[in-house]
Amino acid sequence: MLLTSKRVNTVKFRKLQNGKIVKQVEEQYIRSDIPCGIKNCPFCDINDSKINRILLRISRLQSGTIAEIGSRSYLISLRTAKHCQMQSSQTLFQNMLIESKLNQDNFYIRNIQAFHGLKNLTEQESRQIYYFYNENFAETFVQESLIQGKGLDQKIKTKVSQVYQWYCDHLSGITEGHQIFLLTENFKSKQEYIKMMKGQNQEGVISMEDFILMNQEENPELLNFMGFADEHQQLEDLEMEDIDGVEALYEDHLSFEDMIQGIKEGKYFQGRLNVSRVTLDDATVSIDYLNQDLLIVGLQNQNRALNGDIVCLEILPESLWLKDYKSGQPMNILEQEAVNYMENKNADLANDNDEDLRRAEEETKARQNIIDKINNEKVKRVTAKVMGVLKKMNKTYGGSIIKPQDQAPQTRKKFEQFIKNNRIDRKDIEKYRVFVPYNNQLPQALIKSVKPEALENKRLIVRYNKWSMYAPFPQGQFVKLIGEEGKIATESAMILHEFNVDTRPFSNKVLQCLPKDGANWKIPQEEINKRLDIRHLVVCSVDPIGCKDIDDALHCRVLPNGNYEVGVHIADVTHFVRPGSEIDKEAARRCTTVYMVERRTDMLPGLLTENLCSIRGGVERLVFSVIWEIDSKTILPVKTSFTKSVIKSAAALDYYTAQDMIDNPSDKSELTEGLRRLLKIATILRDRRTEKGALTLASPEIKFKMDVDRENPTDVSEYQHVSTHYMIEEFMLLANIAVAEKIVWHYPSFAILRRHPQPKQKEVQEFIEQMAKQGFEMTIDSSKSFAESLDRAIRQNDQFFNKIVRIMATRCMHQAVYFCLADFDIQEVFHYGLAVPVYTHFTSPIRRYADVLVHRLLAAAIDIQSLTNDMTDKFKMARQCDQMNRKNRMAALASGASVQFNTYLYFKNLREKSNEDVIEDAIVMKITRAGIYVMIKKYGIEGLLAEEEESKFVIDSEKEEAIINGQVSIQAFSNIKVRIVAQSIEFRRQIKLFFKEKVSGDPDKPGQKRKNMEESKFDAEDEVDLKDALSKKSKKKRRN
Amino acid sequence: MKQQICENEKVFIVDGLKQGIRRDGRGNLDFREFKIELGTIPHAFGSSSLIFGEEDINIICAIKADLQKPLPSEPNKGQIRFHLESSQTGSSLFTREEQSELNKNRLTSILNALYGNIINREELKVFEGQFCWFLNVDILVMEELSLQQIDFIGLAIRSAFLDFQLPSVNATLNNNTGKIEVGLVEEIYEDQENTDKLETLKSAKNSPYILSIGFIRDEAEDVVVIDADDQENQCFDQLLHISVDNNLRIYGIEQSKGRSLQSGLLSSKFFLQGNLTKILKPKIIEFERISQKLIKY
Repeated sequence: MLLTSKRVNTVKFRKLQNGKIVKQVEEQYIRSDIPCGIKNCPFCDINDSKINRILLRISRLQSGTIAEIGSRSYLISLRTAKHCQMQSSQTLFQNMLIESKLNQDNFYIRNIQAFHGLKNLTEQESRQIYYFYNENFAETFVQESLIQGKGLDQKIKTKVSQVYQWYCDHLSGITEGHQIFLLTENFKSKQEYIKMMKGQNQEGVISMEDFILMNQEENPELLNFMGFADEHQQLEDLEMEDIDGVEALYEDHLSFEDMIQGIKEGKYFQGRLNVSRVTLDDATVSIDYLNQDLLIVGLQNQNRALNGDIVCLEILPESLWLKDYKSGQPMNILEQEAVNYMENKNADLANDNDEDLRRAEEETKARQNIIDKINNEKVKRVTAKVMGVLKKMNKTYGGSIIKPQDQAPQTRKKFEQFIKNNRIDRKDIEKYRVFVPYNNQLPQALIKSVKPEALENKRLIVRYNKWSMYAPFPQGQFVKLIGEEGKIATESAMILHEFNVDTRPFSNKVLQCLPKDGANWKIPQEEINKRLDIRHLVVCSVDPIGCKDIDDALHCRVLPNGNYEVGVHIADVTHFVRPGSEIDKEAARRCTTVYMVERRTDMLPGLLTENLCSIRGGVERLVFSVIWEIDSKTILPVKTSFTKSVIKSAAALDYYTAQDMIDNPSDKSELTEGLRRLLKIATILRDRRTEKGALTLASPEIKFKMDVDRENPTDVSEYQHVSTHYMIEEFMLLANIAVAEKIVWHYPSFAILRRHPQPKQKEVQEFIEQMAKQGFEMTIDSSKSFAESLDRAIRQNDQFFNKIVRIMATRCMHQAVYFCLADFDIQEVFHYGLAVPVYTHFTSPIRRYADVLVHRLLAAAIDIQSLTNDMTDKFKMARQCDQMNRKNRMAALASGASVQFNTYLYFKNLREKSNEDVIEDAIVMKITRAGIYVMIKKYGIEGLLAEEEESKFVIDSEKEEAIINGQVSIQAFSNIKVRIVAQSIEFRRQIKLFFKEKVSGDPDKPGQKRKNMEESKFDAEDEVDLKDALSKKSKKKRRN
Repeated sequence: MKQQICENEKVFIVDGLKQGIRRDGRGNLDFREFKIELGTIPHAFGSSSLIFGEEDINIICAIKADLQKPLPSEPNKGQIRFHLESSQTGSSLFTREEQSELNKNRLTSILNALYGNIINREELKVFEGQFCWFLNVDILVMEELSLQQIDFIGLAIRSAFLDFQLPSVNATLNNNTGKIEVGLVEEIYEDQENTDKLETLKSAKNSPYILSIGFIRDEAEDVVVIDADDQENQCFDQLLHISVDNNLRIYGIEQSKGRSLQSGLLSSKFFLQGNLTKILKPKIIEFERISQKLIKY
């Protein structure tokens, strides 16, 4: 029985953010029976089972925590816990035990991300963490008015020490071995706590460093965390002193109030900083009401802001605006959008704050003048500089540390400057390392570790902390070790972390939603009775080789009246994933399965993905079918029906087997005949679609062959397309369109659809101009005219040219996105690429959550299930669509990054094995200020051409022309040969492409041969430099 | 207004009053019983609740303060607004909504007239012409509104002002904007030790009471009745509401019934003989005593 023993009112006057002064009353109910959380405590009258339940719950109210290792318990304030969590990781928290604390609301609002992180961390049972509700406990309650005016920090300390003293008294009767310690952030706060304690209790106050030393035997990894806390302090002190002889490298940031004030008055602007992927020097900020993005050039102007931060900007005087600025990066909308989505995620969490800021941006006259001026500026790019950071992105990043001897000269210089500016002791230099993030939009950081050697050649996750005015680097704090650098598993894990993919295993709650029989689950008879039983039909699935999550199957038969009956059968995932269940919530969070080269991060648990939902050959499965009756002469659907059914797949084929079966004239089986009919119909449908103006777009696709252990890629090739590919594609499109029409008809206000907006003139301008130089005119008014103009873009003897044009066209178009029909007019939802009025995703519910939603809508549309309230709430649906779009982008980027890494690995291995340079054909995509972009035809790898001694470029970005070594001139779309070298500079692994020669696409250039020979000579010298005798020999041989 | 009474009933009441006998046993100059509590609403800046009469009618009064720009005509005075509510005016579930709407307006206008200057409004000044406290006085009556409650509403408001405390604020000039900003020095906890940071209004102690005086002209001797109930109110020739402070200074007079002031109470023999002072003085002293007690708590 828990009894309320006392009620305490705290009344205070406060000033709110909006300037109002209010009187606030806080009523607290204080009780005297809160358990101490230590098992078997003889004084606390609560049995174990109850404690276990209380043990793990975090409450929104005040709380504290307590944990226990063996006989030691550690008391830690929530604030300290947050602090530790930031700098450290799981490892630290394991076996640690905590307790404390103050108004959590405060904490919650201020740093919601850290709050969730801590919550996740402490919820795991094995960690033994207990939250102690000190503010509701009579003996540890501290009257607010008694500690007023002391500052938040001091208040917390007073409360924590009160709790600690109580614990000491409480436990003093228990066995000797039971010790309790108060864990504090650093030495300074340890001293402060000690002052507050009396007598022997003082001995129990320890700093983080003491903690690590105490536990190092059990957990040697803890040593990695050492030193950070100190450093934090040290640098802070340093700033307070007046530093003689140290020059500030950056301007000071404005105070938060000044920034807000400035924004209110229209002096400053605010926006998200988006750093270029090519060079750290360029960053842009896009602001809704401005016609052009603001440009921030140079680290000096960026003033220590990191990618993704919300910054406060001042527009530079007009004389500093840039003329003729061309982005160094070719247009790639996919990436841009992804960045926006990534940022939005944080914005969502901090909406309150942003709202305030936005409100602050009142339109004043002065501001309007600046806006008008910027919007009217046609020639120059407007530049700005960062005055301060309003909101930090606060994300952790993966990367590696460089060994001092590997530092590039530039890095070395900066490092030395750091040492000098911060007056680091000679003996401490060893402890500092430069951290190179994987994401090249971020600068290097400096981390400190007692044993940096242990971190070398490892991938780690680091949090970016403060960046002082005097330091050339931001400070990083070690968070977590991923694994050995260069291993596929490590790199994949890091890529997934980088793109926010949730890789945690499914929780027990989720797994409990699966059928109890597991893999032995059989379709119950009553379920079969409810469905259309078409187990007798010859149904088959066609998928890529090795595909385990088969979500679609097809059949085609001739009806007695001579018409064809075609069925598309999609795994009925919604049978297992009930709306509102834990598994549904988890899937809604993950949204999509993420495919990496060697692994897959599933949206649904493996039992469903690979077994119960996967339409494997010879097994009965529940499906959702779309069945058409198609007129055999006109090949037009006469009748479309949707039904839930049960099928038995005759075979799970792959594309190539299916193609072989079709091509084999002697194969007359029913299955093969069905496939032939399908292929025939698909061909006609495809032609019809192309006629209507569907775009054929392209993006490079590469396939890796992995070795047995899935450790190394052994071969890489471009994905081979056979006609069965488009057969499947065609029927999936047909099914998607049919379903889209059906659900729009039934649920015009909240159907989930997919739209592909028409590209805007502004976005494709660059592409059109470039094509115009090649003599091709592009029209984008309709998808049909665009498709036609793409078809015309052909160059004699150069098949690849058309493909690269299509790739580039794809890049400058927006990605298709999911949306809820409520937000749009039906006219606006046209799918530009496919040239259909409405489109949705229905065919892959195993790996996309959108399809799951569409399945539910369709089931409701044919009256077999009703919709839940959530499904009919258009705001929730719109939010879910946002989430799906965001996750999709992330998944696409993660896959891309995975491919990139594997390509790197492949070339590295190739080079090691054969000792030969890899020379490949490539085509120039674009020439910009930043360099020459080329794509390798065979692999679809693209990159910047690297400059080296023997091939120097002079780039004329105006004319899009580059002159190499003053002799060869190349333009966009020139064919060249490049040498591919896998390189890792300061852990930024990349494929370096070196210019090799120009391929005589244009025979009218004289002297080509001679030039080639000269270059070969340079190559030879290069080899000497490399001291790679072997390679020299083999190369010479080849040349001869 | 409760049910109308008929002529015969009026005669009964009037005759009783002439003899100094009222239906509930009070004398003509007696008040109904009441009880006041201060600080009943902790989140208001000042509050009181009052129970009176045999029916235990409850009146709750809360004062909330807000910083606002003063009127240009009174750059150094704050504002006071009265908001009166009862069950009838608050919900359409009750009958006779219209009637209570009318009563509400009537009572509010009486309050504005008599209590517009209940305190010295210059005390609400924070920064001349820029910031003044704007007081919203919310009064909730747990019964159908009628004129019989006005004395006690006044008493409740006055008591709430006795309880009223303002946090001390400082006005500073923001150099960047040139605007005046008002802020708290720090968070203030309501506590015994903090009295220096909370200001009570000095003029609240001398603020006026409202007294309703019913007057029946009679040839023998004019009848004066204090604190009349609804039925009695219907019998009066004249009904006056006077706000008067403890020095018997009159702040305002409002008439609810009767033809003109001159032909009524003020010109009556009764008044000219100085009897009014005699009647009011003991009432005021009684109120004063109760107030003093309240403050002590």
